Amino acid sequence: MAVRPEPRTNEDWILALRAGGASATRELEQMLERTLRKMMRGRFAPQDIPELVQESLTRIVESLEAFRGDSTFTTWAIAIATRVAFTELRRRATRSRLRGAVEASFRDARHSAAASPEAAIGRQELLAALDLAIRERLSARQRFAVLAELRGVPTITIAERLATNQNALYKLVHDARKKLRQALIEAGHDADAVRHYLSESAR
Amino acid sequence: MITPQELQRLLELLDVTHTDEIDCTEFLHRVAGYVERLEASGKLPPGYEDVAQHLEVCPECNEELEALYRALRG
Repeated sequence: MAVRPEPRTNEDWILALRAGGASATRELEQMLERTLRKMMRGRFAPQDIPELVQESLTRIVESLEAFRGDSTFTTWAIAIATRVAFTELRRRATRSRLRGAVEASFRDARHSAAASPEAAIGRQELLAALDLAIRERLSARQRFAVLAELRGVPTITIAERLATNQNALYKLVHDARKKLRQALIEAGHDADAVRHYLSESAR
Repeated sequence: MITPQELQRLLELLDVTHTDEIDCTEFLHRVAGYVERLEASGKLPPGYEDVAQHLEVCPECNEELEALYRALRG
């Protein structure tokens, strides 16, 4: 009777992949291929899956040092493959249907600096204060990134447009959100006021 | 032109903005532990509050988390 081999432990995976072990690599490749075929059905053509698997394998092996052992290795590997597949999907979406949103955000970010606060007249006070803060407190790069994200442009596309990477983009937008929050506080709209407005507008 | 809907969405994001946040790369390396613990206990695992907060401000990581859930559940 054939004996089924014991599943690999996290340590087994790391050691084998670090050493370039063919058996572990093949096992991981097959697992990723099965997972991505199912996960991305209807989103990618079947012939695109092998390339996603190879890109995922490369990313996983390059990132082994980042694995902290707080999950099973295979769950972590699937998370990385998921990121690889969705990033490619978002690149394709930008090429086909989101190009207009990118250009509109770029245009609005440039023009916002010259727009007058009067443009906000008629909006509720809180929204007008936010509109003004976007114009006055954010850099053109921050305005573009914030607007493009709000319009659903993928972060990979925004990062490429700004010639930066996704981590630096996250920091840029996070800093922008903190600046805007501070500007609202200075204008008399603290966190409680924002929460009150949001709960009222949800009714 | 920024629309009122965009301003509204931005306000929602400001409401859940923290002074210190993890970025998408850090999220990626911790999401597997988050998912496994959440699946096991059904509640937010202690020590993963920053991962949950990241999900409130990042729709892309949310999308990936949903796909990861589906993949793990088969």
